[in-house]
Amino acid sequence: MQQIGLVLAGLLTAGVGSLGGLGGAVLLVPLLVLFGMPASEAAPLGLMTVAAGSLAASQRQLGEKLVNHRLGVVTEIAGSSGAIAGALLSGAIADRWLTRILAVAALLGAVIGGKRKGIRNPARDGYTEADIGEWPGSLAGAYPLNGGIAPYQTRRLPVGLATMAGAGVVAGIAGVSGGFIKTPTKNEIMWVPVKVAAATTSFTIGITSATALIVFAFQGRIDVKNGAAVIVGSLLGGQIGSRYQARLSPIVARKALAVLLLIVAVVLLVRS
Amino acid sequence: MSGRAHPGQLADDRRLGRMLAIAVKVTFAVALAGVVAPGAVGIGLATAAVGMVITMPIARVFWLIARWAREGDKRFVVIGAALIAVVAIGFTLALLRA
Repeated sequence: MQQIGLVLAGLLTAGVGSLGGLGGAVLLVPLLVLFGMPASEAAPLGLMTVAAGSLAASQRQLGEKLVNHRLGVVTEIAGSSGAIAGALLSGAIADRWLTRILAVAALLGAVIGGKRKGIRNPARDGYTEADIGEWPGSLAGAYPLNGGIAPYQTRRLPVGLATMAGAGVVAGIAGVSGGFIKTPTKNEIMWVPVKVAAATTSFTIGITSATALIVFAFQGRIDVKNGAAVIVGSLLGGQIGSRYQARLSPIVARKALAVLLLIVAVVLLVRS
Repeated sequence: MSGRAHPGQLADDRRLGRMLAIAVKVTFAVALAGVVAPGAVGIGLATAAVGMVITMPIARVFWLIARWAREGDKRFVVIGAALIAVVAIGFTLALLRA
């Protein structure tokens, strides 16, 4: 019975997460704790939904030409470095204050993304299908948009990397993937189109969560039967979420992300 | 037709997507079998599914490094290797603290 519940929970959180470029752990972990699971058992399952959801969403996101692997790898260096620092610092900050920090970050992301109007990176003439994808040697690229081709150029890289590192610190302390910080950072600070930001974050948080799960595995903290149940639900949810993500317009995707972040902020504030 | 993206990139992405799709199907089947099967068989299958979910993202980074090497993008080969190094350092530090 517990495993059926975990399948459903994984389905819901991975589906919603892959829609908005969130990992899902920040949704799943509070949900499991709410239903009586100790946080120490829920945390590895949260990361399991992140890793499985990331895997499930990847084929569609690659097919839709939304993932910028170069950008993902660059930002993940900062994110993972921050996560290592955060993990080393874990225990130094009271859980209640940490949760409040996460809530404020999610709220900021919701407000900034929700208020912004228009599309920063519209489709432009002069680009062909041969330009779609990531551009070698750079963090620029182009993606299909409304029948046209929209180029983009990553901006404010130092600020973006610093924010990614900060997100990593917070994620390392809290045991979440940080996707709800990373996607808005790419979109709002680094000017990456929201759908590219979401798909690229979905790729990178898979790496973050896999690394953390290796550690949990060596610590003997993974219940593999429960983990398998979450994987079943998350693989389904990730595929469903990524299917709808591709159909959303950038403005709708940004508004949906803002709503999700607002929900995350409320959940975290209630937890704290 | 030449453009700003590497000519083989989209085909490579589609190939990666197909490999990941197969991985998803296999992982799903193994995980489901792990949930349903009783006793040691179930635990073994569940453990295999968890192992697959953990290894695939990191394997993807190695695949990307190889692709960037083929494309002649040395800068990102180095960056990809740096990410693997960061992951390895984090893993080692965490193990030492465990």
